Amino acid sequence: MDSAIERIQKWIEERFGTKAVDRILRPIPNFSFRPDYWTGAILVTGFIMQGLTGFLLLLYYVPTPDQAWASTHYIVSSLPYGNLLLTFHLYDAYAIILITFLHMFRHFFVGAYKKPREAMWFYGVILGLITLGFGFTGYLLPWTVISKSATDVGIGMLNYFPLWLTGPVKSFLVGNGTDAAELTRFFALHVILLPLLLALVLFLKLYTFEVHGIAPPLGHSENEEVKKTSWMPGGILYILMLAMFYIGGLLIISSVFPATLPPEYSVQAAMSVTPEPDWYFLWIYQILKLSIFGGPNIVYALILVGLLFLILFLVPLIDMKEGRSPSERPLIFTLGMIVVTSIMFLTVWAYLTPGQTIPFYQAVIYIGGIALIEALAAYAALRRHRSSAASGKAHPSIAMAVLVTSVIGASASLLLFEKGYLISVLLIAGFIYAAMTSISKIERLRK
Amino acid sequence: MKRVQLLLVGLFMTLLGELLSIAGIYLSSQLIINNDPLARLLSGVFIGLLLISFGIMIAFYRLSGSSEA
Repeated sequence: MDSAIERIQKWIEERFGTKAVDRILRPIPNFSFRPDYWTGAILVTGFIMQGLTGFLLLLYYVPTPDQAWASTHYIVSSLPYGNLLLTFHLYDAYAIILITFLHMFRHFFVGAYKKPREAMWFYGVILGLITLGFGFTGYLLPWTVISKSATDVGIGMLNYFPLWLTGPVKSFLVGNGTDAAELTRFFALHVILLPLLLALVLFLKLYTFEVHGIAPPLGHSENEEVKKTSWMPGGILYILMLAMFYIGGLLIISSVFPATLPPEYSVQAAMSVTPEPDWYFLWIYQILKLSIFGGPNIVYALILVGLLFLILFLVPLIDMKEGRSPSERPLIFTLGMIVVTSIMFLTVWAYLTPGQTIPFYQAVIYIGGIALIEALAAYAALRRHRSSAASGKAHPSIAMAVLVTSVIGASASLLLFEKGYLISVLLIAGFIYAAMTSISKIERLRK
Repeated sequence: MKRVQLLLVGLFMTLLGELLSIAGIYLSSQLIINNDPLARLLSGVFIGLLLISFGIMIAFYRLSGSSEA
């Protein structure tokens, strides 16, 4: 069997010159043949599928206020495979956003943004913002009552800033302010400008990836000799395999759980709904709903969110020490976990409280509780690993353990809030501290 | 069972899965033109299964070691 397959392989290599790729691209370390090392490749697959399905949708979608919803409705209800097409486009977008978060936080927790890969992090954050831009602009296109109302609320926030600052942005987004201008501009951004920007930044990111290669596992140096596999056919086949699983799985989910189209936008219909962003913006929406950010104070909430993104962008310049092990950077590691859990927590909380103003003290207690639980859990886990960190044995999987337990803890805190929140937070914090200490002890005994 | 035989069985099974999926796609596409609700539900499942079978096939091929150049 092998010889026959090898003969076919050789035939392809000779006729199509595929081996030339191996002279250009560096070989892949064998340790990286695990799905968690390839979240970036899955994202590229997702974007390619967005392009393909987006192109097919473009054949039927009409970007005018009176036709946008009707043409989307036609795609969903009458066009053969149309429902599958639109649902796949939507779910693929959701998956991209989710995997972007996972990709980014994985690299944060394993310290892959450290020297010499800082530029890759910068490009990655820009790509993340472009992805959110795709989400923001694409949300409006079906012209549903919820998406149009929420987008208008989002754009309306620009009014609270000085005109000289946000005027050009607003006129760029909505033109002369009519519905037609708004939809046309969002459509143009979604199908032309953002894909171009994505292609450009992705190319730059892949270039720096090729220059620096995959970050070695913790405890291993950059120049360490490891077994490697060439791109042709090993690397390409691995990516193809992951892509097949990703696209196939998403197609099945899209078929079994087809998306439904909310009612069409009209001024009357908009008065009866609570404008709500899509799920990936819910955590920001929850911050904006805090009581202290009511009225014109919303400017401070937007500045706060902007600062969070700026800090995220500058992470490689904030944490410049060489050590990548969690034990060697406990503060930034713990802060990262608090941010991740808070984002998840705020998302769920916003989903449960649509349109409600949130008392500020409540948010302080909740997020404070999460931070306390997380800090204690991280302290307990990392302290025990400090001694083994020097030999590179401390592992970011600790983050996963702490994260899972903290999410459970935070969720329980939310449920118990009305009946003794402080006691429940302390109890859960104590439980997690004990659990993490036990895990660490067991790990030490196993060594 | 030898490794090579196991790989052959795996490749054959995935090939069978792909053929069945293609049959499913063909049958559902006939009905989907009439907006048949079951066909609408199953069409993507068949295409998805085809791709996943292909993915498993590549996984078997990788197991054979032929992909390591």
